[in-house]
Amino acid sequence: MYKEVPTVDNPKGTFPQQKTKVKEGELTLPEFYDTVKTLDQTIDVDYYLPGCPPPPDLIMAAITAILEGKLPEKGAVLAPNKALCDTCPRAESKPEKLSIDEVKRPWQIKMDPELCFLAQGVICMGPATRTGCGETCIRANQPCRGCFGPVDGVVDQGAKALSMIASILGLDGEENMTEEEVKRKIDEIADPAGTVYRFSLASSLLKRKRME
Amino acid sequence: MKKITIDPITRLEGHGKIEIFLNDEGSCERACLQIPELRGFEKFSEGRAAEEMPRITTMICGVCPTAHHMAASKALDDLWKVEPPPAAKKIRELMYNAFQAEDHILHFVFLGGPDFVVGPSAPAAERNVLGVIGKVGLEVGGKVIEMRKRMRNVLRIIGGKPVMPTCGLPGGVSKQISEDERKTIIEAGEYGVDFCQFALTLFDDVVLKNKEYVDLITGDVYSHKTYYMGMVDENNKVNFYDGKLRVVDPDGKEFAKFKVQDYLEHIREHVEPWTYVKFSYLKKVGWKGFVDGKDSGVFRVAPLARLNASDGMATPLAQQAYEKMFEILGGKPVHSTLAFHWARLVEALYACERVLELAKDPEITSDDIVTLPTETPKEGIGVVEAPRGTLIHHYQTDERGILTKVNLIVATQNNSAAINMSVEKAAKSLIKKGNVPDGILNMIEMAFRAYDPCHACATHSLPGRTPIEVYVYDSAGNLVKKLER
Repeated sequence: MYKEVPTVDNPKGTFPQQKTKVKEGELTLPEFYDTVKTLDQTIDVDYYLPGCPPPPDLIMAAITAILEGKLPEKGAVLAPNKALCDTCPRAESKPEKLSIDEVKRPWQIKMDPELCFLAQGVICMGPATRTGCGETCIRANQPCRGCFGPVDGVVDQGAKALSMIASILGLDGEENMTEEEVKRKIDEIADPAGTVYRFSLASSLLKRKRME
Repeated sequence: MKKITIDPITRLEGHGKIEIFLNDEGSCERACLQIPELRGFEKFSEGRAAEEMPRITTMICGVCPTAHHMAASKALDDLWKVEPPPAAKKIRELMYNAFQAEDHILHFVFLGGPDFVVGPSAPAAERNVLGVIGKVGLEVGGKVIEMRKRMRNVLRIIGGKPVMPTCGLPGGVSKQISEDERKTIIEAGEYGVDFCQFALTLFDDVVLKNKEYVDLITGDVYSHKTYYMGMVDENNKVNFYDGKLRVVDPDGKEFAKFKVQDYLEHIREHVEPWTYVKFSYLKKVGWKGFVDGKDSGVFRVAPLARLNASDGMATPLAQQAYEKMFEILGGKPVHSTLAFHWARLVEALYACERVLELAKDPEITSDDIVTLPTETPKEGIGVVEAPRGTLIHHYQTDERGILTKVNLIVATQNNSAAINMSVEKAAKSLIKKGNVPDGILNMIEMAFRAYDPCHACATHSLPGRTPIEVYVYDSAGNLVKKLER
């Protein structure tokens, strides 16, 4: 981005260094790692407050618990251990047997403000995501993107989400589909990695993009 | 040469350190404000679905996510060549002005204000929002919190949550405003207008009536003659949501006026090896270094720059405040960096008046809130005026709308050259004979605080290569080989 971006004028190919000598002395910058680490891979974590950002009521509950000395066992996530679908205002509109016949991106249809997103064909991370956020995105008529992470016991949120999507994608008539038809159906999902791993890549089994 | 380090710098968004080099006489030879953080958005957004950008780019910053959300939404309109219905534009502009209002007040009370209300040389422990509340009283403190609470509730109503809003779509927004919600927003607007007028009165009492502060504002230590850039509507009045970009020269004369689609002809970025932030400058003038004047391409953005670059404010009370400010400071353009704090309050008042105007518009509760795209996407550019300056999102995608290239010109980086100049000028003017008490160090920090910088935003980008040195030693500890790139 110090060379290719259209607005940069950098004929000498200057880019930031850890140590720069100027006439008056030396200036330093920190270096960067090539892999993002989670907090608990770096230091000892006592409790997890999920969310991007964690909502005020959960923060308040956490602070109150600390002040009252009523904290759960170490390592607990301070939010309900249920999936978003459990508390979603659209839960009743989610059909027993869900099948996405055609994936719809959020701009391809006028999204219905009361119907389950998956039932509309719009990929929603709700089933693979912990609740506790107040379903703020859902109430703004946007599908969940997974910022609260998974429920207890799920090691890889992205894998869980992919498994969920695979189980409802093209369910009707799946037995009669050819390999190509199945692949085409899966390709209807724009950017699967960026959707299912947006908040959890660093803690996933994969951890990062493959290095060359 | 002796080196003084202020690390970390405080009361701003993001990270930074200031290095001050003293010569043998104990005066400042040079000062640099380095940004040691880096985000990488321009790179890791490649491969993402473009419609997710309003929700991804909010993660650049927890203070100004709505700015990125809005610039991204407008870039999507341009990417898919789709025009949002009038109601959608009004909803977006309403949300955007509520955000401007609460963010500006946040800065004035929590970040920049303490320097004036408590005093620049007051003990460090008092130079914060608690010190401010200590000085102005709990009741006033309560009003500040209430005003921001109400405005952020407006953001929650429209965007889902006050931080990281989600409603932007190519061609509009995802949620309409109900009649009950409109009533709540009108009440918030009224409270906001009252509060901002009160804030300007407070500024008058605490700052303008204090000769020491007025000398500080109008003096030479915190002053630079630069170009100024801001977005204006068709009447050349300040508009945060939409319009053309207007640039005036250090004498106040219009130098350029262009739509953002032409930004590549006007804005360039310069790289220095000692910081991760890039420095914007005017292409048509050129990069001449960290210097003032008509021949230097350095320009400034954000409240003072917007007021300098415009012909006025579009709402009546803010217009009065604008006229008063320029009358007292001796006409346009104003070059005094500390006047940014004043201009910020004038803008906050405009933002609240605009929230009220739009909330009262009958179309604001319409259900016609999105136009579905039909064109094949390729390239889109969107611009808004973030609280901290002009913000540009530029996307290129494949035919499916998957991003191939992203360029972000982010508000604070447009001020990064001027910020460096301001810090260095303050250090050079204030440090004498190596005497650097805490109060002086804070006065050097005041030089950047006026700009309300957001360094997380400013350093959104990633270098293409990281420099590496590899030393190979044999088993006896002798250096066998040294590799560099």
